[in-house]
Amino acid sequence: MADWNRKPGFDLSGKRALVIGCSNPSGRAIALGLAEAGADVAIVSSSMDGDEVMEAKRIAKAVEAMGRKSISQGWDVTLPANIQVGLKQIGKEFGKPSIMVYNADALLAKPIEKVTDTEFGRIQAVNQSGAYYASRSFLKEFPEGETGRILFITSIFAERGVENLTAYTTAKAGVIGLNVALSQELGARDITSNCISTGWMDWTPGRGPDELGANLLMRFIPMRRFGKAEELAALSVLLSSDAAGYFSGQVFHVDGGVSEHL
Amino acid sequence: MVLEKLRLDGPPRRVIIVTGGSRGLGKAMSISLAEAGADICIASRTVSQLESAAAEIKAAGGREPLIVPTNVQSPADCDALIEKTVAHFGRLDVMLNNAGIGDRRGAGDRIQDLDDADWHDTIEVNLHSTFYCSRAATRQFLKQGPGGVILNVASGTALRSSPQSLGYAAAKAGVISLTKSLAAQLVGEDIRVNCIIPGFVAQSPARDDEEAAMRKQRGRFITVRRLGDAWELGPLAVFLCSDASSYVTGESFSIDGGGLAGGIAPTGYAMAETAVSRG
Repeated sequence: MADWNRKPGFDLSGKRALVIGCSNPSGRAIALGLAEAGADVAIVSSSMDGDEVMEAKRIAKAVEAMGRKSISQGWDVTLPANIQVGLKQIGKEFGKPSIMVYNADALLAKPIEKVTDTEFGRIQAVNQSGAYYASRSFLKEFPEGETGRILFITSIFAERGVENLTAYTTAKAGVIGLNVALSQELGARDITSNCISTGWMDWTPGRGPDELGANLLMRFIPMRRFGKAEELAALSVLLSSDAAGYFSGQVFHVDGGVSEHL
Repeated sequence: MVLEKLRLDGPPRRVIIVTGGSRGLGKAMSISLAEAGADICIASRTVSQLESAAAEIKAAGGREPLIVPTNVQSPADCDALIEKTVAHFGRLDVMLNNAGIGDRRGAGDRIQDLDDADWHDTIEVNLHSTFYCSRAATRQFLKQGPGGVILNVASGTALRSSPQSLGYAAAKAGVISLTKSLAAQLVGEDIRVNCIIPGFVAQSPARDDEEAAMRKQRGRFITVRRLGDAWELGPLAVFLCSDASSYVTGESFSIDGGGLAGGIAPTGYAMAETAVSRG
């Protein structure tokens, strides 16, 4: 009997990845996880906020310290031309990435009547439109012939409601729609698209104190704790690998069981 | 480093029982888990198949597996499976409930023709077995102290209609539901419970060109234009059995080549670019 043509699940040697967004700790954790698995990693900010741009630079340095190639850029993901030009430049200076992780994230908490048009527009632009623009540019610049992996880091708020998050939930749900549509459009090209949906993480705004006794919200999470960025890394590596070609169009929850709560 | 958490060689070295581990998906996952350093016990009915699978696991670089002939429809057999594994390896860390049969009794029957015995057989082997083994494993986990993993294997047929296998689809939907409820029940004891939902996956490498051609033809109807291969479940099983999935419980992971995300039009159907709707 012939043997399987198996591929390693957690080895990204020789791959080039692009991680977009490091305004929260998951950008760093995922970038370093991909680098640990052997990938060269380009890291870009989701906005021109100075702190985020500097964080992208620091992550690039950390990736290089692991012996991998890296590059960082400051992006504003609400500007499609910025993404397209940035990706072209990354292609020239770093090489065209075959893995894209979209981790841009902007949250707004307000009752719907108080959300201004500008605020609503920005939340849609960063979370949803940016994911669309980035996917489009990634595919325009895609290194043909390679295996492709698209990964959206989204949120349990895309599928479950809480008060004051209408704008954010609308935008994140849009990313799940983009994910399923992309999975079908790219299915014949060995390019997959998946989401990792985070629950309440230890950086989620508005989560309250980190002590279980003092936090009703934390007691509601089956695991009785908030998630850590590092807990997204291994799954990101798996879904980015050549071995993950049969996963597509899915939303995988890393949420301490909260999405299964009654 | 984060990826070290994927290792299953300890300390302590993880002990994993895989029911239905002598062939197909179970054997493929057993090989990956053994490669990651775990001690494996494979269980199924047929001794000759168990022996052959054990040899393959060892040949792939794994340690000597334990084989325990088991009828997972028998609660006593399931209890004995856990006891024998603990007697041999000294502990149990993961119960991987993979045993199941899709096309045994009653498959293809219309409901008016499906008799009680066939229905019960299908539910027993696919759902009751998961309950029996999970219960026995949990009793052992609780003896050992906090920690433990239950990993179930369901089927994509549970998520959409499956007119040719009423009992199988219902049983596998039960496995998904049991996963969620058990996860919530056992989270306080630090026992995680998750589920893998395979779509159309080939159980073994194609035996000849004819079989390869047949699979290629079937693959045309799947989003990624091919059937899955059993080995592709291996890395996911390693992730879910390891500490790298420490914040994941109650979750079901579909691996179906994009099938579930589509399925509302023929594979390859593209909306015509002339199609517009003006609102």
